[in-house]
Amino acid sequence: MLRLHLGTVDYVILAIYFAVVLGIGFIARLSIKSDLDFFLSGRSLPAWITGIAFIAANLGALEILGQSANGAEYGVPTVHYYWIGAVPAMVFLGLVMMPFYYGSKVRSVPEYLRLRFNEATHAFNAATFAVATVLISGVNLFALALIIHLMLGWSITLAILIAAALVLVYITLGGLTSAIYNEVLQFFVIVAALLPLTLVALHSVGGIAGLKHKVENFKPLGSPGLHAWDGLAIHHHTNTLGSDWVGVVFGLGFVLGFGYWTTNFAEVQRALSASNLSASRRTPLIGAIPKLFLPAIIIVPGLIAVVTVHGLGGSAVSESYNTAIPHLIGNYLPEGMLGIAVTGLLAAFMAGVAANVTAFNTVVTYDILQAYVWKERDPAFYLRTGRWVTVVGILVSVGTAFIAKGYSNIMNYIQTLFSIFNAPLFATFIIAMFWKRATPWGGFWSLIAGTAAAYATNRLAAYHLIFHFGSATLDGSFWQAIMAFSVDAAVMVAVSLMTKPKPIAELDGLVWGMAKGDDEADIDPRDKLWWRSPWLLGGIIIACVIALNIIFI
Amino acid sequence: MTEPDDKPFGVPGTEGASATGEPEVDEVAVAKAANRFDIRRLIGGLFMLYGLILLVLGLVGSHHVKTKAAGINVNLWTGLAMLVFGALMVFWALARPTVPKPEKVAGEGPGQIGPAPTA
Repeated sequence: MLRLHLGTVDYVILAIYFAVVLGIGFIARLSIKSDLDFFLSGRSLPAWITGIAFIAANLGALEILGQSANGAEYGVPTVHYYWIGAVPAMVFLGLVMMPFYYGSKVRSVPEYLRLRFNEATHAFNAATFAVATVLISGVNLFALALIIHLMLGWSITLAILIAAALVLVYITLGGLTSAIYNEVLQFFVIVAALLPLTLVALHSVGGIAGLKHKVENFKPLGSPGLHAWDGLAIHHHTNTLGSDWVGVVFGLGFVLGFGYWTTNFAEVQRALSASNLSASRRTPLIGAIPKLFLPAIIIVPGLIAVVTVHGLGGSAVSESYNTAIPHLIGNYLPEGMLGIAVTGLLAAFMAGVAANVTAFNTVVTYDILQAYVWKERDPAFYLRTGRWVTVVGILVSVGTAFIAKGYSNIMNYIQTLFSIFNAPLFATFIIAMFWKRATPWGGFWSLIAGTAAAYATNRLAAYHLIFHFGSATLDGSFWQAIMAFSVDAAVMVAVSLMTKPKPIAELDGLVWGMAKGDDEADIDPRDKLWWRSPWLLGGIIIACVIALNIIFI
Repeated sequence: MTEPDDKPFGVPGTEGASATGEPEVDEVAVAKAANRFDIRRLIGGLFMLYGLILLVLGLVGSHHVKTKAAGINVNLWTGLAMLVFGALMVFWALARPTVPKPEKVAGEGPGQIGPAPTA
């Protein structure tokens, strides 16, 4: 039974949270003086806040429900999404890429492309990003509404409208500051909900040993469901993901993971709002620390759900793997904790919508409207425009939420979006940053070709014309990403060799070996402390990720 | 969970008010506003309130509420943990209050809009 019955106290807990969220919006409004305050929080936030926001922006509906669903369906191999698909990319972003983003003073990811390549590349990327973002925020909105519908019994339409209205109010008022404060708050609430839930559920199945025993004897998971690196041999994979190590390491880890974490502006924007270069570099690194341990409270509940909830994985909506965590909440949490859990879930979903909407309004305002439509207006004009773009973005998201409603499998829809928009972008970026010879038109045509290749691969795979990797759609998305990346990179190199490169002087601060440091005025003397060194922090995180992979091999 | 970042930080927009042509705000008022808006206080306050609610439920709740979670009084223990965490956050905020950043030199300071960088 999925329907939760909230008591008075649960509604009080929920009401308190939303009062605080709206309160933050109103207070944040008082401190917003310029468009930069609205879009990038005036570049003033400390690293621990932007770091938590960095991870929380990703901890939306799709992440929590989707990864616990993967935990239920695939078991421990789901950790690849964290330890291969996310953490290394976050460390790379912090150590290698942030100096280019932050040091060049760009305000968005497309703006980097404008400086590095040309306006055509910039406009193409800004437009595709804007489209992708409203589609993704629509998916988040729909997932949020679906879960409200299942748990609380409200109609989906009503839930979409109420959630959209709340996000609209707090972002229009407080901009990115409001979004980030809520992300940080939400992060702590969701952990306060999921951690006790996991411990209680684990206790009820007899601890870790009991869970292992149950999973080993559970069909179809069995023993492979407990090992991350088992059975990943090429042509002979018995892994639950239905993939081999090439798909996991290159597809998921290198292309999809790096593509998402290093070029998705909804993420990078959090690091750009940090107070100086050192803080911006530490943002993804600090975010990587909770990411290392999130599987414990997301994948483990999924595993527990699949062995304890009868019929999970069935065809009914209320039995789908996505409902693993809601089922556990209903089974174990009494009034009080139930309120915390529902609040945490709703807050997380709203954060997912808000992250996309704040990225959308920034890119549309700076990279489309300011760059090509209304140039050279005063700051107040762009601030006002930004607020209106937010309203439009949310209205469009409501529309795209209804598109998502038409798809039977949301995860397939979202993977299609990611592999089309993120995978080729990463190829273009990585070459742009490391190869001075990459030319403006090389950048433009590589993006076009990569995006087209990703879309074509997706369509061909959908009609089974290529790929016969078994039934696992996951593996398909890994390979789709690899294709997009390869085509993009090949076109980039070919076109670059035929066209004229930018003069070296114009690449200052944009390519490897020419990164700019902090402005003297921005350097905080305490950032020279050895324990604030990004390289040390990054090294420790990589050591942890290797250790965790060995433990769960 | 995160490294202790004891760096004082400013609330966006409260510093560099003059850059946008607005009258200079009294420094004390700015510091007060920044502290009220300190996220550590927000988190701490919310968690202490939630912790208290859960703790009370854990103590006076019905038998069903106390035992639903596989026999564990989950409200009691989570309530206690949230109270402690909230108190630590508030303590951190009080021990190292927010100090608004000094105004930066004109040009790149917060609250200042520059033209879009040109290619």
